[in-house]
Amino acid sequence: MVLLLLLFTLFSSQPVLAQESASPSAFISPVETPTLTPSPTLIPTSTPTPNPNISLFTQYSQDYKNQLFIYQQDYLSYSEKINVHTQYGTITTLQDKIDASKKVLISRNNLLRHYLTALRVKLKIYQDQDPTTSQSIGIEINKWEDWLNEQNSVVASLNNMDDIKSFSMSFNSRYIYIQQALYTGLVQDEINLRLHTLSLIKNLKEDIRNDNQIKPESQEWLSSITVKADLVNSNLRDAYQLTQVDLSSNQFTDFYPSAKNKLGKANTYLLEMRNNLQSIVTKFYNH
Amino acid sequence: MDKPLFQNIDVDQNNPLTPVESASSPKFKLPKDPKIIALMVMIGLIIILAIIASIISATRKNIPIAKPKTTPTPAVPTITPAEFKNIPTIYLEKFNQIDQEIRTEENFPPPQLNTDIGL
Repeated sequence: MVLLLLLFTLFSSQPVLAQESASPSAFISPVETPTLTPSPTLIPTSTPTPNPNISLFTQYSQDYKNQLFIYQQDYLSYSEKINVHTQYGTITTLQDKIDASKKVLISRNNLLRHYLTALRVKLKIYQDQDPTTSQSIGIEINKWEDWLNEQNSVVASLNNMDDIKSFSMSFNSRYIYIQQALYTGLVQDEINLRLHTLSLIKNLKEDIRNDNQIKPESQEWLSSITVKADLVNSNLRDAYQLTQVDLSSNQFTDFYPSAKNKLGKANTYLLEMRNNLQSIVTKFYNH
Repeated sequence: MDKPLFQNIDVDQNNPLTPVESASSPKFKLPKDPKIIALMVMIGLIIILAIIASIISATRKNIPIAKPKTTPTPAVPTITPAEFKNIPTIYLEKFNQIDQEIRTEENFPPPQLNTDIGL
């Protein structure tokens, strides 16, 4: 009787094993497997509600990288066709050159448009720190995205090198404005990030101030942090001011390195504030 | 009758007329000065150590050393535990978040475009 029971259990368990082996494991790569079973460690503890713009930015930046590859391929093809036409100078090589030029102009437009889209989304991540400026820059960037999209249809209609040349000249006259919007967006994005860090430090300072274990003698130290906060704000304002350049000379002024310098100074002050807070906390908690 | 004395012309040293010196090899005499002895011991030690070192290095060359994996440089550098060791637990998370933001560098450079296409 016992043997029969054992046999029955053995046979009844067989179909389960068969099902496991027959599962379509080939379609699931080992890399993808962990994502299917999310572990608690994957959930960030510091941000319970992750900003949706972060994942959106990751997606758009990947699109931009893909487009960069396409542009590089088209550019190589364009260079090759130019060399061939310079060497042979036939009607066929000229047509090949025109086609390659149109193709690379479209992929260049797409590349720039993808970059601007990703940057606009990136700007949204911390835009609540300075919503008015961030949104106005976002609108400006979006305007150039639409313009670049329109240019693709213009390029498609070009059929000789003279038209391509005039298109390129027209593009270059607008490109300085695109650069202006692009670098302003980059600077503003970093300003927003540093402002967000500053707000975190201020919140932490208040927590420390209200901590019963921190003695009142630390109040003076905490006040010095306010002075440094002013220095941070001052440097961030300077960085923004550098983006407000006049484009009447029809030439792009590269303000980005100077702005980065100001942003770097602001970040140094933020680090000093953070270290001061750590000194206060460790002093009173370890004595 | 006395035997006539003769010289063996084939062997220089086998001259019975000349006094025979001891043919044994010159003996190595240990120097009696303790400084020289110490110096010799030191030189000997250095030679032995050099031989041992060369043997070790030769054997280590033959052992395949596992190369560290080239990992991409993170935008946010890892924070060493020493920086956080004194921070109370209630503030640790906030400090961690601040550190991550401070160490974040803008890493989204604009594309380098050729604006001379078609010109």
